[in-house]
Amino acid sequence: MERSIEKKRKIKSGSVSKKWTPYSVTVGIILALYAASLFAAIAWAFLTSLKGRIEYIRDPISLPKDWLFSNYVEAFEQLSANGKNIFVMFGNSLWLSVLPPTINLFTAAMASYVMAHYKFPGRNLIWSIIIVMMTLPIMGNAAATYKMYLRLGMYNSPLILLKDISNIGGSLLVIAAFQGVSKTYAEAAFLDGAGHFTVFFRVMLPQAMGVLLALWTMNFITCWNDYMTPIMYLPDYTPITSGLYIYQKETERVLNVPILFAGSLMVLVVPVVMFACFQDKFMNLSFGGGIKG
Amino acid sequence: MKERTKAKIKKYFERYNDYPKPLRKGKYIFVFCMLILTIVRWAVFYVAVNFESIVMAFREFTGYGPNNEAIYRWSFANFEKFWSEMSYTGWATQSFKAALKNTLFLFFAGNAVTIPTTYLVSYYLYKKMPGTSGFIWILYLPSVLSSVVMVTIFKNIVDANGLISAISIALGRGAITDLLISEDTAKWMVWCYNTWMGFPGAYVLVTAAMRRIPEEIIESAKLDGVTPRTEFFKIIFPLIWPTVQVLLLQKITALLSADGPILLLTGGKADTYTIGYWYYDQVILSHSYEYPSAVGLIMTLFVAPLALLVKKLTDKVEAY
Repeated sequence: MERSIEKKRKIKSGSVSKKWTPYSVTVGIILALYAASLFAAIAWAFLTSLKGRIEYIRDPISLPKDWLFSNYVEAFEQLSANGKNIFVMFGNSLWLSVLPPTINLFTAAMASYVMAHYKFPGRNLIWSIIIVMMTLPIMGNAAATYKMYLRLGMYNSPLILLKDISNIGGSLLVIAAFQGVSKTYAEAAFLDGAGHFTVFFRVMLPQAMGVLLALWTMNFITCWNDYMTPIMYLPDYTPITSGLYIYQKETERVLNVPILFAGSLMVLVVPVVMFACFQDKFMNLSFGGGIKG
Repeated sequence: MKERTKAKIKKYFERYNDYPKPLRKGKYIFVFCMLILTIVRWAVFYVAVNFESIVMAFREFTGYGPNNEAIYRWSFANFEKFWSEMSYTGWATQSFKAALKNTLFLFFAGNAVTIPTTYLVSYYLYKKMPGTSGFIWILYLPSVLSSVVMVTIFKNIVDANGLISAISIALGRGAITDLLISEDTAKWMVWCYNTWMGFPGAYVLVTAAMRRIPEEIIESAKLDGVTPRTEFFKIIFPLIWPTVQVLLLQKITALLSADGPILLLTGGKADTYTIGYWYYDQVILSHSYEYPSAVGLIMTLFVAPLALLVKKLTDKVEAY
């Protein structure tokens, strides 16, 4: 009996495999090399950002002779694109990263709540549309999208934010989040005389806030890193990411790589800090652990 | 008659009575208010855009009218152009044909690495082998780091005056040419970058699916003495099949959009033109709308049935 319990205990801990097998060694080495490649690239970029321009051209490998932290100050003075300085570009990055996820998740929460907790005519139709949109790929509508933006005055205008309104029926993750919130909270509030809007804004929305916040942070990082949308549709509202690309094109022949790297690393700080602060929520959401509000 | 219709309507709405009577009247106004924005968005940016895309595919620009307005006519000219471009035996590096070839290369070469590594790494993380918590954190980093910054670093590593060249000189092998400028190496450099930043594929989804497998199943298999290989292929893989199916469908959908940041890496030069970049070039730089729409329609007619076929086939596998 004791042996059987002991065996069971061993098996339970056996799902966590700490044994070195040819498989674990091989994959472990691959992962370690991959991690090293990422850190080495960023470390090299950091060391380069502390060199002088000529020093870098002569010797890109060695450590900096003088650690020029002043390059970071110079990056603020020198980096510009489309006639916008770095402060304007950071400002554009900020609104282009804060507003889209806010608009998207707020509208997604509105639609997802009724999809999760209300019965109404057309609900099944919306579900069918969501499924069709997910399984049936429609390709090559970039030209029509571009023309639509031009027609609606969204091209090169903050009105471009209209595209961030959530698609029909909200998002599946947000629907799942509201499905996870018990309807009894709403029923209790209804008994106290609250209306539908009050129940949504004051009872149910706060319950799903954990998931919404994690999704907002993920979307914020995606928007912060997005360079293509501003290049295509917002030429006068250059954010810092697109700005770094345009700066490289504008200064191709006299490019100061250390200054460019200093600016680039400053761009990395915001998403990395966000990720470090919210990593638990990210991991829970991504790996399906679920987050309670 | 009117009474009967009224009764029918009443009966129809009865099935939606999920709230007490006092709240029912306001319910539909509430539902309307909550859904209207997303429905309008869908109608404008999905239905109208895709409808216009189909219409444009069959239109041909013929010139300007007396008030300088563009004049179009209905025709199959865009499809004929596509056919003649695809059947052209010569080679142009900035054509749709070249873009298709390069996109398919990046798709197949990329997946040859990411598909096996996705499952190898996911099983490693699922089993919580040494270093798992750190690796999970590190593997997440590429989705947090800005493409523009990582491409900037990558370009300066493979540049003729960059890190690899300097190492080559230090080893006495002399300087190397810019790997992103040479037609022989540029495509492989794009593949290297995509693999570096895309490694190890969809490990998050697969690991999450593995973690949802009930512990008791794995425990009882262990009691039966299964080897790790049998455990993976005979127990875990069938149990995560729905996730594998979703990933397969995602791959098919991405068949013609696998390209990576071509604009940042090469600007479409050195035979690295891809379909994504071709669209950027046609629509944003050249302001050509009708021909890209026709190509989009052809691609949809090719990829959509393929996606449905894969779904049907994988559904059958699931049945076993």
